[in-house]
Formats: sequence, structure tokens, C-alpha cells
Amino acid sequence: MTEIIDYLRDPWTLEFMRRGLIAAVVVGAVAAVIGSFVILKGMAFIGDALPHASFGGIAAAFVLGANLYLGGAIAAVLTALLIAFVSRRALIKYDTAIGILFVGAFAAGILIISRQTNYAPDLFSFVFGNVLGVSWSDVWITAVAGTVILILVVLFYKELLFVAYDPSMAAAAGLPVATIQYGLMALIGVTTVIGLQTVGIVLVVALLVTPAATAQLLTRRLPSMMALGAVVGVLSSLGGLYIAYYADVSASAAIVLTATAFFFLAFLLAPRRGLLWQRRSLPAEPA
Amino acid sequence: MFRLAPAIAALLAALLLAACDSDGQAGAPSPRPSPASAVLPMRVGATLPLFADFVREVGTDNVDVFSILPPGADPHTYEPTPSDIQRITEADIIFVNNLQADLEGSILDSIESNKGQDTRVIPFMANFVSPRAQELGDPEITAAEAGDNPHLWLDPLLARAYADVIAEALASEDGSNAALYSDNLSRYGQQLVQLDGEIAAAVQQIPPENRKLVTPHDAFPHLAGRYGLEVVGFVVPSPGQDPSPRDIADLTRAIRDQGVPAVFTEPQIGADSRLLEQIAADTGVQVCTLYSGALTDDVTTYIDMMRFNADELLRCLGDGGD
Amino acid sequence: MTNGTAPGLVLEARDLWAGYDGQPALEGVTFNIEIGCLAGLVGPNGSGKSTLLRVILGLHKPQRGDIRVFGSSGRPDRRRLGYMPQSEQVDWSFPVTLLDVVLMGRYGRLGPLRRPTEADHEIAWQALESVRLAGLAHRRIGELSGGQQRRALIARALAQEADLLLLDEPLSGLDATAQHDLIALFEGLRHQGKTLLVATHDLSCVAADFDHAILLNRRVVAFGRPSDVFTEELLNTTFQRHLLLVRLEGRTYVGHD
Repeated sequence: MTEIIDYLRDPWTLEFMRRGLIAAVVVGAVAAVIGSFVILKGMAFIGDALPHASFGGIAAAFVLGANLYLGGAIAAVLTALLIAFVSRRALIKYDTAIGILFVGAFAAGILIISRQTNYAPDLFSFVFGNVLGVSWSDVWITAVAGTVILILVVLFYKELLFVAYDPSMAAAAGLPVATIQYGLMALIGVTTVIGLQTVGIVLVVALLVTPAATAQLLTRRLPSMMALGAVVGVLSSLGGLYIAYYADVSASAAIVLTATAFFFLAFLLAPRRGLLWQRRSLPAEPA
Repeated sequence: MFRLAPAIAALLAALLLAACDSDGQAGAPSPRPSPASAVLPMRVGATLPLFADFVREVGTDNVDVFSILPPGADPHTYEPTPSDIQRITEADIIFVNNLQADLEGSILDSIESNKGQDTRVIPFMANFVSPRAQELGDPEITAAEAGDNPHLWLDPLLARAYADVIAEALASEDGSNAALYSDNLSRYGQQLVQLDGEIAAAVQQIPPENRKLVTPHDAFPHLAGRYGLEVVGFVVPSPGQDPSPRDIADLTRAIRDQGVPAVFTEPQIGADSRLLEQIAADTGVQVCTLYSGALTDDVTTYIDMMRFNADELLRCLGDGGD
Repeated sequence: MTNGTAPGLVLEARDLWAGYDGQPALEGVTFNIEIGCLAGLVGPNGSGKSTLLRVILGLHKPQRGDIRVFGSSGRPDRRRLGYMPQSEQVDWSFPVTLLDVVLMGRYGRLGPLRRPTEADHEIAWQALESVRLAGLAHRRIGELSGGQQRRALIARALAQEADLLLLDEPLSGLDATAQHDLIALFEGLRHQGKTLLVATHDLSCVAADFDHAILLNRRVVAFGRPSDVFTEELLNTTFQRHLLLVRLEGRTYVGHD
């Protein structure tokens, strides 16, 4: 028995593992909650798009001698807002707007950098965090920001739900639909930036989408979907870090694959919606 | 609509012809210069700025050198600009470290696709004998064949081998000035020997138990081998890999157990340097800088770079450092 | 224009013009609707029915003209206006239960930061009872049949305690039984004093059960009781095609020629 306890306790004797766990757990929970809206609105690839868009801000900050992290964060959130704006005005779908804008922001960054004749370091990945390399101040910032985001979601839950679900009815009911849509995009932008700068691009994309998608297969209502998504996100981070520690592999990759494994479990076994469930309950249709 | 088709076909044909034609060079094709004499100055390219520095030392005024990678850029991710491509096309010689895509991955592809008909691409590592030849039991095996760590230039005596390759290449292209290149080579060689002495003297002042290297990547085996430094560890072998928890734990433990006084990051911004800084913060050791190959605005020649490295090693590992 | 609407008029439109990006959708639309009326808004596709509903809701600004809702021409009191959009626009895959959807009808009254109260839940349940869906309250919205989904949206409008209900194609795609049930529901609501304006393609239905009809083809061709305005001439003008009117045992059926 003590052997098992040791086994479970060992990774956390290392300080960098403790920091990485807290960061990954916070990001996993917050990203799943925000990610529920992301996948229900069909914008899953925003998790990859916004980090690319942030490159435009990083390049601009670099040239201006300003803080690169801040430049990247501003660019990501601005792009998120612009996506909502373009989508509303031009009546194009979210994923189209995302595709157009993130590439534009990224290319703007490349242009700015290519004008530099010297000292052009690899800025794109500069702001990417690494779950094994977070500092305690990173952990604090992530925890505080994550808490604020969750509080906002709880406070404005019904407005966010109504506008996400049926914007025209929400407008008819008198809700400020535009403000709420921009607000949601800003939350998505901030969540993505925090995840990106803390745990890196691979993890933020996965944690935004996969746990929420897993929860969607297993729940019927949005609140339980968000809660279960957060739990899956936390378990993926925890499980992934154990795997990385004992199998001596990349922590990001292990966490992502754990989350993916959870998804496939749900995909196969979910009551009523799972693949195996559907196969076994093939009734003979009455004539 | 029907008339549009022939017009489009003609346009496509014209484009196709233009594309084929640009495979040559701007203007009339010049005949390949005879080995006896060449059009001066020779247009010589190099993948890294420090190779360009070597070429200038050996070729002096007879060469017009350009480096494809600008100072401070990361060779793994750099994308050549149109003016880079133009110069690649027009170059007489291009020096690369190795034809196997190790260090210079993306640039090699650009060179291969765009080099002129008469451009000679010369890989350094395939043109001198590996420092491990004796150990491997084959006195003729080249560095490329031996699969040596590509950062061979960090050993000044091996840097001499780079200069040898350059002198030979320039002389074969421009035989009438062979003597000049030979003289330049000797002169530079002496500077390298003197540099070697300086570095050795600096390392001598470091207490033996402190002669330990911890760096982001595995770039320093040749430097360490020459001066008796020990490579305690690195974050990841080369950029782009993601370290596992054990890698970080092992490195952290090694720094503590062996009492390493300082870790050395690279001057360019990079994810692995940042990881190393975090490890240093955790272990309470100092963070210093070591150049592995890229030059910057402050450090513009190979010799300057190596002197900086020597000073930094002494400052950070020597006693009396803070 | 300060003297108010004639008493008993819930909706009054005068010379409304509206359009999108230069395309006219409504031209000089004028009509009245009284309280407790079950009015049908009929016209071919593209005749501006949805636009008109959106203008009444305040979701679309008219270019010219005047519209008075509950006697005032300012911003309508949104709480009194219930809206049921065309069902293609609704997201049926969202993880919400029937009860969640009906409760949304209360959100307009709650304002931000407040949660639905006991009273709100009570009203929602009553709304579900009146459309006879109370037993399915905890089912996901996507699991309901077409007719049930329509009734769900009506329950939402009822939970809102709206006085004027604007319904966009509530009958389309439903089988005869479901349609019949819905119409019975509309009748019931009328008796409670609510006013309904229903955009629909089903002319026979309007002829049979509605007490008011507006014939719309970007402009109002006619409005009044179906028995008065459902003539071959007016219908042909509205629909720009020949329609067949069959009067059988006191009922009027409209079909294609």
C-alpha cells in the first residue's frame, strides 16, 4: 500500500512538477468552461488561431521595444473582438472570420519582422510557455485570472447562454446581444492568451476543445457540461503529468493524449450517444 | 468565352517560358571561369554569419561575402527573403556546415532549389577529417561521415580546419591568387592559435571543480573537449524538442549535486533558454551567456565571440565571481 | 401625431418602408391589429413577412413610416412582445433542456446578475402546462419532435408574459395533427386576451381559423377578415400566380391552380 502512495506522491516532491500541476489544472478547468462555448458555436480552431494572431502583436512590440507578452496578449484579444465584429457585420460564419483574420495578423507580424535587417530572433514561439517551466508568479497570475474569468461566467451565465443559444430571440427580449458577444470573445481571447503563455500552444488548443467535447457526449445541460469538462481537464492534466513523469516523455504531449483518450472513451461508451451503445441497441424495427 | 481559351493558353505558355528561362541567370549566361582566374570579387555565400567571417579573413578583398542567416536569427526557423534568394542564385560558392539537415535545415532547401548553374555548394564537415578519427579507427573519416556534433567551430583548432577548406575552395576557383589565400590562411591560423592559448589560460584560472557546463542545447562538446570542461547536461539535445519531467529533474539534481556555479543560456531569445533560466532560479545559480554560433550586433567576429565566451566562463565559473 | 392609437389597437403600422442593402423589403405597409386578434400574415417567399416581424420587434429599423406597438411609437416594451423565430434559425443541438429554454423567456425581466426565482420557475411551469409539455421538461431540446419544439418556443413566449406574440412560420413542416393542436393553442391564447400575429403559408388554415389576415407582397395588398380579403383577385395579386378558391360547406380552401 505504501508503495502505491509513494508512487502517487513521487512526482510532486519536485517543485517544478508542483508548479506545472497547478498551472495545468487551472488552465484545464478554465479552458474547459470557456471551451464549452467555443465548441458549441463551432469555433474550435480559434484555439490555434489566436496564438498565431498574437504574433502580429509580438512583432509590433518587438519593433517598438515594448513588452512582448503584453503585445501578444493585446493582439490576441483584439483579433478575437475583430472576429466577432466581422462575423456580425459581414454575416459570415465564425470560422470563416477566424480564418481570414488570424492569418492576416500573423502575416502582418512576418512582414514587420522581415523589415528588420538584423536581430530577428524566433519571436513566434517566444511567448509560448512550457508547463514544466512555469514560475510561481506565472502560477499566481494564472490562478487569479482564471478565477476572475470563472466568476464572470457564473455572474453572466444566463446572458451568455441566451445569446449563444438564440441571439435573435435574445435581441427581441432586449438583451444587449452585441456587447455580450464581444464580451464572450474577449473572455475567449484572454483564456487563450493565459493558456498560451503559461502552458504553451499545444496544450491550450487541446484543453480548450477536448475536455468540453468529452463532456458534451456525457451531459445534457450546459452547466453540467462545463462542470464535467472542467473535471476532465483537471484529470487530463493530472494523469498526463503522471504519465510524463514515469514514462519519461514530453509533458504537453502526455496531457493532450490523456485528454484525447478520455474523449475516445466517452465516444465509445457514452450512454445513448456512444458508438458501442448505439451498436448494441439496434432494435428490430416493427414492420 | 471561346476566344478566351487561346488567350489563356498563350499566357500560360509565356509564363512557362519565362519560368524556364529564369533558371539561368539575369542577362546572358557567363561562361564558367577557368580555374586559372576568376571574375573578382568572387561572390561567396555562407549559411551562418560566423562562416562569412572566416571567408572574409581568408579571402579579404577578393571576395564579396554574404551570410544567408542575418545576425541573431535562428537557423532552424529562418526563411530566406527574395534578396537572399537572388544572392544564392548569383553566388560562385556557398559554404554550408553539413549537407545533412542538422543545424541549417530550412536554409539548405532554399539553397538547393535556387543555386545557380555554376554555384558550388561546399559542406565543411564533409571536407575535413573528424576529430574522432583516431577513436573511430579510421584516419580518413570525415566529420560528416562520423556524425560529429555540428558545432565543431567552437574549438579554435577545428576552426582552422574550416579556414583550410575555404582557402582550398577559393584557390581552386581563383588559382592566380592562391598564394594570397595561403598567406591569409597562415595569418589567420596564427590568430587562432593565439586565441586557443588565451582561452586555455582563462580556463586554467577556473578552479577544476567548477569547470562545468550546463546549456540549453548540446552545442558544446567540442569546446568542452578542447579545454577540459565537463558537459554536465543540457535541457534538450537540439531546439524543437520538448523535455520530459525526468530530463528537468535530472538536470536540476545534477546542478545541485555537482555544485555547478552558473548555467549558460544563448544570446538569442529561445524557449529552452527560458526553461534553463527557470531551473537556475530554482537552484539559485547564476545565469550567464555563451555563444554557440550566432553572432549579434555586439559580437561580430568569430574571434570576438570566442573571447567573449572565455571571459564569460571565467567570470561566472571562476572564484571571486558573484 | 400625439393623439394615441384608437383604444383596442395593439399594432398600428402606417406607410412603413424597410429594406436591406438597397433591396426593398417593405413598401408603404399600412395595417391595424386589434387586441385579442388572431391575425395571419400571408404572402409568397420574399414578400417581407419576416422583415415586418423584425421591424415590429425593433430588431430592424424602418427607413420611413410609423409603427405603434401598444399605442406608443418609441421603443417597444420588449417584455410584452413574444417572438418565435423560424425554426431553422434555432440551434437544436445545444445542451439545454426544455425547461431551460422556457426559462429563457424570463431572462428579459431579470436583468444581469440575478438568478431566476421560485416565482419565475412557477411561471415557466405554468407555461409548459398550457402547451401540455410539462412531462418533457427535463428532456434535451433536441430530443423533442417538431411539433413539440414549436410548442416549446410558444411556451417560452408565454413564460415571458407577453401580450403580443409574433410567430414566424410556426406551422411549417408539421403534420396535420400537430398543426391542429397548435391552432387550438392559438385559440386558447386569444381567449386569454393575447394577440397573435402569425406569418404563415397555410392559407386554408388562415381562412378557416383566423379572424384577421394581412396580404403582403412588399406592400399590403389588403387586410381585414379572411372572408372579405380572400378573393381570387386579391390572392392572385398577392401571390402573382393563379390560386384556386374552393368554398365548401361554409369553409374556404385555397390551393394551387
